Amino acid sequence: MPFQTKLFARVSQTYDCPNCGGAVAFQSSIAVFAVCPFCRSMVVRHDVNVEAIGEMAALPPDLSPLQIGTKGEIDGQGFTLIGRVRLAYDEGSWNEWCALFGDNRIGWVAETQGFFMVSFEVAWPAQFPTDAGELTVGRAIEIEQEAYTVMDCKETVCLGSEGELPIVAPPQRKMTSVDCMGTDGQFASAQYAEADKKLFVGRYAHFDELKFSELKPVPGWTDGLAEPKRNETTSLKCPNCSAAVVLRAAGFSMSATCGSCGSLIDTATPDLRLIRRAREKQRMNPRIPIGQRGMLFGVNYEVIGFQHVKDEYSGWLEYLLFNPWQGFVWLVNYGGHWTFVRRLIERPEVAEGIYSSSAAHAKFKGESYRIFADSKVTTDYVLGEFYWKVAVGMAARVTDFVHPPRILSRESYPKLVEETWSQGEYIQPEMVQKAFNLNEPLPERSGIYLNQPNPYAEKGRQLKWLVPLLVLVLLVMQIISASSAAHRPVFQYDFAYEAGITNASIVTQPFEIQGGNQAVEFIFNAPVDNNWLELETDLVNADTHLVAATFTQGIEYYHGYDDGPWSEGRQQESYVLPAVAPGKYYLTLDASADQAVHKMPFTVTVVRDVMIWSNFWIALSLLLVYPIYCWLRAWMFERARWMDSDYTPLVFATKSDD
Amino acid sequence: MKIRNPIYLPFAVALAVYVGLANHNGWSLIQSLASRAWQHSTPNTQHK
Repeated sequence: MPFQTKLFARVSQTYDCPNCGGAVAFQSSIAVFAVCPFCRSMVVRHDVNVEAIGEMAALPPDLSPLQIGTKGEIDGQGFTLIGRVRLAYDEGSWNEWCALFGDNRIGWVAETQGFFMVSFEVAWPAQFPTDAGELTVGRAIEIEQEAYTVMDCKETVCLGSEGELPIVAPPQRKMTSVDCMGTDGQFASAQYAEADKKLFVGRYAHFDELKFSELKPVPGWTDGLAEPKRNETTSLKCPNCSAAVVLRAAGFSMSATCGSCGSLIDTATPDLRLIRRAREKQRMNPRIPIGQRGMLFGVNYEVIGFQHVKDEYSGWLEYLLFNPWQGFVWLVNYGGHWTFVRRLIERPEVAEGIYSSSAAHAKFKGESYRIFADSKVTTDYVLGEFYWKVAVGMAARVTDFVHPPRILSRESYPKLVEETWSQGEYIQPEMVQKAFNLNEPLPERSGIYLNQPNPYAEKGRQLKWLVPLLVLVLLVMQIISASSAAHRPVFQYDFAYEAGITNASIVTQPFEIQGGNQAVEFIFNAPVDNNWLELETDLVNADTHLVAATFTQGIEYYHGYDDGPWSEGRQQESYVLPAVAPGKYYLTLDASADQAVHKMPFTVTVVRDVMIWSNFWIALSLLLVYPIYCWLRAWMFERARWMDSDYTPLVFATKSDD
Repeated sequence: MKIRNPIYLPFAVALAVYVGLANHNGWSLIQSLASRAWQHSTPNTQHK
């Protein structure tokens, strides 16, 4: 049972600021700290009075759409933001909003990188580590019967605050913060201050889920607020060359490159510090310029950063896109292929496997992603601004799992002590071209990309139900035809071939074929034995004496012993004439045979209204040509995709362990 | 279900061939066509 901060008997109260006398309201009964909205004095509430403990520095302007007074909702419970703490750590900073819920609970809404963590304080579990050092990244831990993984551990410092808070949060207040993630979007944060430990449990949420209202207009983004206003408030000077640095995601970006000299600047705090002076002589020009806006998946994004990343074998480009409400996403461009990438607030389940038999895979939202690559990647060029302190030479271990057209990437940064997951979706280059209104054509695609959808696999999915259905239709049609065929013998007679007799055509007795046009089968039997017999046959209409059809059918049978018994041919053959008109017929037979044959008996049987099975097999073959073609192309596509992977499920003859 | 989906075309052809062969012996027809094609492609040396 989580410990929920209880409502004290006191109701909302207003005090006079001890410094300026202005009204300082405490909406929440449990708030103990507030910043005077008039003189920015830090006011601490005691049992009966308030005390000013110094002046709070103004928080730097940012592009956050949240403000004190913003209302929101999570899981059906409404809340109002009543205070804010700005926290920083080595690699960046973020806002923690204090939220007053309808049932007078206090919760926290952490706003970072475009998504939110909503949490409430719970009682410190008895078995929970009391030393933050025990919570190493990747460690599995149970909190309130739920499984969590430690995602990061950082030393934080309070940069400033505003509004009212349930804690005294003067600037420079330090603590250790350990964030944990559950498998299904759960979030937990353990905070270790000097003599105080707190545990918060909640969940991750996207902007749209929280149904915010009474948001702060965002200059340059909200209709009616012009772009220049944004520049006025977010333009800073480069510590290296003094040129103006315009922040496109102020409050969210933690580093930026100077557009003039290319130096890398720390933008996490208002006092811009130089991370690294410009060194590159050559500059890369991104295909989508920094500052360009484009609509992707219904959201208007602005390109704010660009980096070139490489691994052992190749390099690719990553564009960082920003929207003040939806946060950050990436566009990854590799060899003309584009992938739209979002950071995940859930943690996929990973099953490590053994190479080539059951390779590692990740499960996410019911889909299984197969491991494709696991490599060390390095950033070797940056431009624009980023939500972390980017650095050239910064290395990360990236593991990619694919389920085309989607991809899951796990990134771990040894120096940042954190692990992040993101999900990407392959998009067509035309979509990027159109979204950002690019005049220059984008580079042609080369090769098959790791999450490129297999067009033949898509056809294969359609064919999976279509082919069996059509084969069944064909089979039913054939069975109906076969069952309605009379298959009735109308003539049978024994004859004999004699060598040396010339012009001795055999003319048979007439026989009648009743019914409509039908297939007629002629069956020939002869005791051939290592020799042959051939019969040239005329089917003659007995009324008109006109030849209706002529055909030649041989009968041969050979056998012997050559490293074992063998045989070929047979002593019975048949010939089928299709669409024979009804009527009275007779046959004329001209027999010829092997020279060694002097006399050979043979039998002729005529069966009317038979089924022609070759038609069925021809149709079946035609039916299967296209599916087999698609399957082959799909396989070749997959083969090309997995050629670049060390974890291919396909077996290549050239693969070697050497 | 989109009837105009080109994926259906090869199957429509296969079924049309099946129906079209109703009054024919498909295998003999193929042999006959192959034989004719062979005669056309092989030069006649009898008249040299």
